[in-house]
Amino acid sequence: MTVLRSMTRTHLFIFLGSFLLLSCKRIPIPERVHLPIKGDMETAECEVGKHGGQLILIASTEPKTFNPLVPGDYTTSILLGRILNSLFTYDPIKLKYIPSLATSWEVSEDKKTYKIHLRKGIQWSDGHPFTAEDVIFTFDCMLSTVKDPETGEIKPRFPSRNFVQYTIGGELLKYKKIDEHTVEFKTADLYAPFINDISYADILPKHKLLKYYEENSLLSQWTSKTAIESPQEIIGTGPFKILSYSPGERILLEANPYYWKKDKENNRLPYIDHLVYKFVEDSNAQTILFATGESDSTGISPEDLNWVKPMGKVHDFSVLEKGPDSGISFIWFNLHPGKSKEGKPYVDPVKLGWFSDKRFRQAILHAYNRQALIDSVYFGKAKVLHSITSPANKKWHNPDTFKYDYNPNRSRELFLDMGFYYDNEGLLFDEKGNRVQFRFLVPGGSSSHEARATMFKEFMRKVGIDLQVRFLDWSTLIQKIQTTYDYDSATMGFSGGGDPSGGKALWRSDGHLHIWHPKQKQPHTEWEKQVDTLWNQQEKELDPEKRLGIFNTIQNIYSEELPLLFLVNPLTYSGIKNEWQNVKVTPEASIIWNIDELWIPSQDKKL
Amino acid sequence: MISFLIRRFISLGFLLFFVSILVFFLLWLSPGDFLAEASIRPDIPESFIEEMRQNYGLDKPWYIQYLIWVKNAITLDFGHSMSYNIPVMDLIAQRLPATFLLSCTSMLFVWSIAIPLGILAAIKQDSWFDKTSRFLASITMSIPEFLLAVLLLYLIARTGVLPIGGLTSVNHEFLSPIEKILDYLHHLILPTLVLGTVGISGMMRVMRANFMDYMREDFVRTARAKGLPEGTIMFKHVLRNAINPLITSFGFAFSSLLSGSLLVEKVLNFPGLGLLIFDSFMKEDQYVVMASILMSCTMLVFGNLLADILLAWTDPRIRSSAK
Repeated sequence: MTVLRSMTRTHLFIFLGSFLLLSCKRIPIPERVHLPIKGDMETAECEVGKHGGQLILIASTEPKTFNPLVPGDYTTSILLGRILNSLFTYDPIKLKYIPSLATSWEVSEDKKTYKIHLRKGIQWSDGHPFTAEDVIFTFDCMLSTVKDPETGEIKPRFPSRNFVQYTIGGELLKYKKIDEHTVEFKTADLYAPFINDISYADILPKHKLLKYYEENSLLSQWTSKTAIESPQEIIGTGPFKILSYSPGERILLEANPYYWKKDKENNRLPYIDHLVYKFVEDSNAQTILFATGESDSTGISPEDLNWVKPMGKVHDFSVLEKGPDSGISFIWFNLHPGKSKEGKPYVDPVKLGWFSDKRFRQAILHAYNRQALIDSVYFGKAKVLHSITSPANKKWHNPDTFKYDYNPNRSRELFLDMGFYYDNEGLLFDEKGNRVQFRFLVPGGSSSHEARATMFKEFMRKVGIDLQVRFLDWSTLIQKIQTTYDYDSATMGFSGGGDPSGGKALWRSDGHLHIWHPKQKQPHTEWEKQVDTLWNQQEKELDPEKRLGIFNTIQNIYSEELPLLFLVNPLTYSGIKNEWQNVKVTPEASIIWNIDELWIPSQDKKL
Repeated sequence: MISFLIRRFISLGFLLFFVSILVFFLLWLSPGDFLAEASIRPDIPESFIEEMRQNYGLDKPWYIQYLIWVKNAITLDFGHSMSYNIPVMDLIAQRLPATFLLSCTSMLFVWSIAIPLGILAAIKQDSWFDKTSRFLASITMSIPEFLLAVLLLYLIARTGVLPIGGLTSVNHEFLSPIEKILDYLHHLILPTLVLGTVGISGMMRVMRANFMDYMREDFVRTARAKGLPEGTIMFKHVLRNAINPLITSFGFAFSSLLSGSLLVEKVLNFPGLGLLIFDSFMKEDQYVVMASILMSCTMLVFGNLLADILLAWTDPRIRSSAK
């Protein structure tokens, strides 16, 4: 009896023990597969590194989607950039387009037909071969049309922003397959930035997505749900593929074993095994995570420099200056001459009279002490901005545009020149005796906007103008400047970079982001007409030097006419741990833009 | 009891109807819509924005949009999130478990500590224990939650004992089941402490005050006179009376189970519902807003219902008056 009891007890222990052992067993982290080098692979010029390690980065928002046809946010575009490739890619050091999925292009005699040669013998991240079919399929997804059964109108089958983008010279881009590794594109008119524009399109896998294309459910594929439940469905040609996605926490990517780049010693890139993006919304928390060694790299704002830099000694990182920000920030006046439906002018005609005078706008900018703004708000870590293109955009920025220094006397002269006068107390009146005052809309909630608005009010008071600052939330501000047009002046910024052909909506008088007077049917002023003409010229100008010249002229016109009163351009800083090798800093791209070339000598950094 | 339940459900229906119509109207009144942000991006053409606006039905008047939404909602289709392009319910389901887990642990933490402490403080009134606990409670109650979160975060970052933020470690996927559970628990400690600490002091003080009120009642004197043991008097008679207001507050706590805590989520980077709902409010992702509001309304009604049932169970007077 006792024997039996002890037997069962032993059995029980064995059972429990084995259960515990089983449940303690870790799922092995998938070992990185190293496939033999084959096909027409690109050889990176970087120094040879070593495989292994993980890179931990921070993203401030969740990816909204993984489908490049659906408009996503910043995180979406970053992640898609790791997973998918386009035909060509912009090299932010060489400042030109370099081969990606395509190796070269040939332009026909009439400069309207582009024959593009694709990389041979490379594969998607699931091993399926990549061919011209995939490229044709991608353009089918973006450009195929259907007829609306009710109105008979031709509309895109899958509406995406690309549809408008690839309408060149009034006609949709034509494309066809020549052979398995060659495709041909045809534009209806001469179009200089063609290679730039074609590189916006991420190439999609036909073998994965064709059935959704046929079912018309393409736009509801590759959502965040796909990434959570079946990440292996989202495949690409890029350096990484999704391993797992935990919403609200992180996304884990692993090296794509089929990536098409290798180093000089025939090691397949990327060197990194795993890439982790943690989602941290709060920008202070992002900086803290980096400063305490919890992430490998991050952008650092000028006001945090002083406390983050010393932490680098403890956690072995450096903070590098990347140069000016690629965006622009500005103040502008509402120059819309139209009337609302009720017949009320959008802008008070008296004020519109002032705002429309170039001298008025120039006088305001002369009265604005931008250096004082830099010293107080940016701790000296910014530069005065003089052009509509940021100096970060080295290729396209015109450094010789009109410049307006801080000169309140010049400002007063310009006002007097316009017929304005000052009373005994130094207050400014126009020629009809109206007190010069206007409202200024500022997006609320940002301390730097608030500081800037306070300074602007003070600068205006010095030249006798009463500035009435109003803080508004984003949506209200956007509604005022895009729909109801009932405001005097406002401030905002645009991001930028790359070929300015993407900024059509801002530069041209019919653009919806021509914010001082959007969507003009006919150019309202002489200079806007001139810009439109120059714009059409540059699109057809195939000589890069001449095209650059046209853009320099356009920038000069903008700086003289000042529809936008350019403010300052903050310097940007990035931190990165010192152990990372092959880091190349450029103002035009993020510090880890060449992520496939980064490597780490110590191999103890693993998941 | 049945008629009571039926009445509650009917009133829930009305409540949901009026709340949803109000929220929809207010969303419509607020300037801009979901596409406002996209409309000032230079890389998104205007015709595409218009197309999207038509696809989402945002070009229709608000009452038509509302009717379409109600029609779908009756069949439990709460629409698609505009920013994530997936059904709202899927989106909420992604975040729900984490929020629910944290709400449960923090509620458990608060109740299991606050009630015994409150009782102890009441029984040992004016002892050193009572005085210190009152002092500590006043301090923690006067510290705002976010400050507490930041203070704790600072301490933790200094000592490095607990993970900073998140619900799981980077290598979570590759852990064994037991390690996974331990990993969750490890990550839950900090947010539970932050969410719970303020709650404990408040609840403890309510418990203490109530308990002391009932200790002075006549029935306690009678019981003592009858020679009942002190333990029986305190835990059988006083406690059952004193716990009533806490059960009511349980009803409210229940409603917040699924609403998430924006603040703790933001500071401690916890993957809950709070941030998601806040973002959808800010971006006017209207169907996510609607679904989350309906969810918290329903939870509030059910929480109160649960509290009423529990009250009837602990308090015979309520049961008899209901009859």
